[in-house]
Parts: sequence; C-alpha cells; structure tokens
Amino acid sequence: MSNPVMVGMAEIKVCCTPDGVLTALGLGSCVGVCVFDPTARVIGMAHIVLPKSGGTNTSPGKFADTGIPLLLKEMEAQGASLFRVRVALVGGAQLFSFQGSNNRLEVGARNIQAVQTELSQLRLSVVAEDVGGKVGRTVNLHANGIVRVKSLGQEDRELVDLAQSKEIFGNRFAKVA
Amino acid sequence: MKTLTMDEIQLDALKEVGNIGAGNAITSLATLLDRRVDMSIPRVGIVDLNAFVQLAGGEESCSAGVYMRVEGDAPGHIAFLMPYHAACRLVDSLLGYPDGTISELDELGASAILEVGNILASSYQSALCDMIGLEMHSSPPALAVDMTTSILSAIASTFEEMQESILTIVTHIDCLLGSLEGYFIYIPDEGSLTQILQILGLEATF
Repeated sequence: MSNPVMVGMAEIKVCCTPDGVLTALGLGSCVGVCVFDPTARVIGMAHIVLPKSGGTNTSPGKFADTGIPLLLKEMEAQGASLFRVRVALVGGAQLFSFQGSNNRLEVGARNIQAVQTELSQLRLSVVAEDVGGKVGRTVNLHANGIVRVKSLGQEDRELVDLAQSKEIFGNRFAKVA
Repeated sequence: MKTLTMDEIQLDALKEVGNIGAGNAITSLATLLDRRVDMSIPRVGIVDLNAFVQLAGGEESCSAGVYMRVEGDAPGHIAFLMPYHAACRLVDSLLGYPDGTISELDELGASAILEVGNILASSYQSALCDMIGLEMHSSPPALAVDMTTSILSAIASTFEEMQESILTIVTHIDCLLGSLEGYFIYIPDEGSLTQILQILGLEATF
C-alpha cells in the first residue's frame, strides 16, 4: 500500500491511483468530506474548517460553501461524475466542554449543517456518517471506496464501503447540550 | 492573501510577552504543587493552520487542553495543553497520590485539570494585563481530552475567519524531569498584536 496522502486543514485532495489513501488526521470540529466514484475509481476528500466563506476566496478549501463545489470540480476533472459519486461525512465534533454559553466553540454542529446544505443543493445524499459527539476522529478513505475511522481509545473501524453501499446509515450523535 | 511578517525586534518583544505570562503562570503552578517547574524560552512564530495543529506534539498523540478566549482591550486566545500522561501525573500530584497511580482521567481528574488550566491561563493573562496595562478578562475555561491535533484544530476553528497566518507564542514547561510537561499557547488577534507592539514602543505595520 502506498503512503497515505495527508489532507490538512482547508485542503482538498483527489486521488486516482488504485492503492491510494487519503487521510485527515485528528478532525475536531472540522468535517472530512469523503467522495468516491465507483466507476471512474476516483476518490476525493475535503477538510472543511468553517461553514461559510462570506465572500472571501483566498482559501476556498476551508469553507463548506466553497470547498465542496471545488472538490467535486477537481474530481470531475479526473473523470468522476456527480451522478455516480457517493459521499461519507466524518467529524464535526464538539471537543470542548464548558460552562455557560460560548458558541465560538460550537463550530462542529454548524459545519455539519453547512456541509449537508451544500450537498443537498448539489442533489447529493450522504451514504454514511460518523459526525457530532465529543470525540476527535482520524479518517482514511481508500481507493476502493472503504472509509475507516479512528478515534481516541478505539480501534480503527470500517465506517462504510462506498463501493458497495447505497443505503443510508450512520452514527449521528444528538447535539451536545 | 494577507500574510503577517515581523522583524527580529518585534519577535523579541513578543518573546518577552510570553516570558512574563508563562513565568507568572509557572509560579502559580510551582506554588500549587510545591515543586520546581522549569520553562523554555518562548517560541514565537507565524504559522499556517496545518503547522498550528502540530504545535504541541502532533500526529495522533493525546492531550488534555484548556482553552480560554481573552476578551477586552486586546482580544486573543490562551490555551494550555498537556500530554495525556502528564495530565495524569498532575492529578496524582494534586490529589497527593504517588506518581503513576492514575492512568486514566475520570470526571474528578478532568475537573482538576480544568481548574489547574484555569488558574494557569488566568495567571498568564493577568501578567499580560499588568505588563501592557490593558484591560482583559477571559471567558470561562473549556476542557478537551482528545487527540492533540483535534484539540488544536477545534481551537483554530474559533479564529477570525480570514486569518491565514497565525502568530503564536508557545512556551514549554516541565517539572519532574519531563514527566509533567505542558505548553502554553497564546494567540493575540491581529488587532491586539498591533496594539501590544505599540505599547511596547515598537512600530507595527502589517
């Protein structure tokens, strides 16, 4: 297996090699958007940091509203089609627990919301998700469409095989009060 | 894209800011633990998001982190991160257990870390206030125990949205020959940076 390609914060990576792996390490409130085209065998990942760009275009990969269209565009350039792609979402947790109100730290939930809004505008549904909750996650997207997730104190586990699965299932935590 | 740049003198001045803040904080820690605590010379650097999340160990190491938003005349962020094993040692010390007793942070341990983090970050911040003569206060502290990169990325997501380069002042502290170590990370907002440098008598244009 080749070395995984790291998808850092605000980055977008696309990979077409048969043994490629895209990895986003330690997603906190960020959301890793994993996209797979089973026919063209193209995988892509965006590491979304914040929900809305507010008109800035300096770092499109950072925001849900600009990063997702850019990811899909880059995948289309490699032969992927919006009609075929399958999407899995990982991340968007709220790591910090605090007393009182401090909505600066509630970015995770807003990120998930923004990513889902953006995807539904593009008429894409999410096949599997491991989002919300309180734990950070590392996600690996393999060239064969398998998405694996690891979090602290837990074994690396398979979230979904995007090449097989069309049904929607997942693991969504209730919003942390 | 807006990129911060700084000269040697400005960086030195900010190192001094880190020195004063962390110096005050480790005095509190040493008093609390009744033990000697050492600190490094602060590292001042301008980093991008991906370098930021690697500041305190990186990869998939695990840490306990306490975060506070600084509000007032010079807003910014203060975080105190400890590797997980060091956080366990700290709880041992605080509860008077022999070193190595605690290997997992339970609720009691977590609240002890939150409280210590609170004391340390507050001492750091009050030293800054005294030094630069500005009014500042902090939000209630928040605790996270998780992968280090996840904690730092959660902190980074609270930064101003346009900010691409982040000025960080990082001070490493250690006690008991490294078995009890941690990092102070202070990130003044860009506006505050200009203000702090001006108060210290330096021209600040960026």
